[in-house]
Amino acid sequence: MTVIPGTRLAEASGLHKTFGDIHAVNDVSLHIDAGETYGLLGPNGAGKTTTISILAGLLEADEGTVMVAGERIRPRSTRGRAAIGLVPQDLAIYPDLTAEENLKFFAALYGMSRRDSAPRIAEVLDVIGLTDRRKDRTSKYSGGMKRRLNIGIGLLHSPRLLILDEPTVGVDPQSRNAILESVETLSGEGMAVLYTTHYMEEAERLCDRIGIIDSGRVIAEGTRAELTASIGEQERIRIEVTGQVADAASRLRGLDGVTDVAAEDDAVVVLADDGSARLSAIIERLAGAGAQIGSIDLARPDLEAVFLHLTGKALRE
Amino acid sequence: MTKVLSIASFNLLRMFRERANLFFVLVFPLLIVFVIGSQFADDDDAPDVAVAGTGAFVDRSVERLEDTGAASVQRVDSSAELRDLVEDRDVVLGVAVPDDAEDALRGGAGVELTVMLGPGDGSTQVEGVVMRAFEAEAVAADVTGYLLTLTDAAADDIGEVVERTVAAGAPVEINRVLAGGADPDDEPLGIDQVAIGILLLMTFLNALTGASALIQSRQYGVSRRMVATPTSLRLIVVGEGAGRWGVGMFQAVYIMATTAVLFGVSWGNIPAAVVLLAVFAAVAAGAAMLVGAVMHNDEQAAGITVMVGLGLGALGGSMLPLDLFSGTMRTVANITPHAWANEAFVELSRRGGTLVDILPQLGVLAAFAVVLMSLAAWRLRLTLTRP
Repeated sequence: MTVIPGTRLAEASGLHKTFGDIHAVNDVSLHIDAGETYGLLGPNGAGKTTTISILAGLLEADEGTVMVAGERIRPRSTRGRAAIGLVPQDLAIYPDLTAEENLKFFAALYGMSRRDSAPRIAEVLDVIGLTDRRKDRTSKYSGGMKRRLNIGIGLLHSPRLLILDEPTVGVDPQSRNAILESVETLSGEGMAVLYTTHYMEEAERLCDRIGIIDSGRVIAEGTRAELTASIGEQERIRIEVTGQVADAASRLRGLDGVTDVAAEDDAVVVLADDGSARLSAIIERLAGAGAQIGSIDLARPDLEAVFLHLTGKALRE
Repeated sequence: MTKVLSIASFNLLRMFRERANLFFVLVFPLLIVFVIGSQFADDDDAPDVAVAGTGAFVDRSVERLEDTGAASVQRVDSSAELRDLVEDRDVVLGVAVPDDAEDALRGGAGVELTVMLGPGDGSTQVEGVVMRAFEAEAVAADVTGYLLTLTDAAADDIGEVVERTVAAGAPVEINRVLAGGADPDDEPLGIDQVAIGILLLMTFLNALTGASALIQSRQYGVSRRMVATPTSLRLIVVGEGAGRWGVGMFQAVYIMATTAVLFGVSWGNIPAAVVLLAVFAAVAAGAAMLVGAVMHNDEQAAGITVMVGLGLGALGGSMLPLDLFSGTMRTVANITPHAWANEAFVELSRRGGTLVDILPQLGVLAAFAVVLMSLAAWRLRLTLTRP
């Protein structure tokens, strides 16, 4: 794979997609260069999967265009598909076939000859660490092994753009780390990667640029540094509470220096200027609301704080 | 083409990896052919009939009866022995003839025969043939007895003349035919008919179970992932259809070959039979694709598969030959592909038909296949290209 870093590899312009009354994708535009990892960060239901389904040519956009490797991507045409490797969020493998058979099946669909596919399958099995278990049916695999195979299929034909839709959901920490390392390696080799996640840490670790998506719109885009700089020096305070979480959160709104408050299931997330100085006032308000306080986590400006600032919602809501 | 073959071959691999499928494809059909075939088809022997009595009249009647081939006659010494045989079901029917029957007939007196009918349909079916044999042989003796009352000639002379007259008479030959041209001596439930019915039933049923595999592919997300590869939807649909067709074709050829070798089933013109199977398997594949594209889960598909597979099979003559259907039911049966295939197979195996003779049936089956495949392709496209 010959890659010139910085070459524009994928570009989506003005994408719109509605399902009935729901505007799932609303004027989304983004571009990804060769060797770049682009993160699409947003909570569940934000429109990430619909956006990448359009990018991968599985869904027809109501408006807008997608170009990958110089080809227009549309569901009715197979042009440009060979340049894309898709790793769907849900496992898409046959449980009654072995890892090797699954790879052979998709190699044929990617138009690879048997002569070309045999060494490539061995290579991919090695990359995903399943060489020793290649002859076992995947129904006998652990969740992490299945996830790795799911990714391996996407890598099989050495795509120029790899699209990973929340690849670490439901994965144990060890497999998760292996997946993230693989993505870093591939990006280092010049592959363009589109990575969707609702895990802030993953986006921060992997992505050169990040688009924050909410309710179908990309509401902010840039490098991690650019995005966090946009909210100044605000700190994010996450306080675990028991009791009336929503009521406790509402008590904090309007408190001096507090810019945003969001309630999670068992925690209140606060964005505040000079957060450490405001901590005692915040705790006092929560105690006054009858909330039992557990742990308190105070963090420097991060992507979660950016998301909270932009949407008024926590990323995991 | 490589992609289509890959999709189809992995379909077959997945199907035959399941042990239950191996049983239903390889063992079950032969088991049914054997069981049903041995019930109906192996019973080639004529029913046994016992006759008690002696004398020329009895000898001639028994000889006549055996010449018909409709019954196998066992001679016994007494009426008591005859009764035992009937009651023990060793014979279906018994005839007791008085020892002086010949003399009584020649003397112009009547003779009373006793017929003991055993239980079941067998006795009533053969009763008419048995009675006709005895009545026919009684004619000469009866006429002799009557002539004796008109002349002074010796009884032996009259008897000889009458017998010569009867023997010199031109025989009446009766040709039995069935409307439609079938051989009336062909047993409608013979092993050939059973094998045709089972072949069509199992080919359709097993191809139809491929619907579950298609639903699983959708549920696993594999079908959608296939769409993301540089493989057109058209090729994916054709590949999935080819997989189901391959299952049906394998099943059909397997039953055809094994029943020919193991049970001596005649399939007639083999090239024409293979073409017929290919078209019928395409109908089954189309039905499987449609069920697989429309149904949401395995359970729904399994219910529909059994209902549709067995229902169409029964209606189309796979469980009871079409020859035994009433006129109305025969007409209704034509809504099933099974009936058309059945008819074509009968043409090939029983009437020595060729490919040209079954073109009308092939045309109807091809139309079935095209309609089902088109509906399935439309529905599958819709399913795979929506979120």
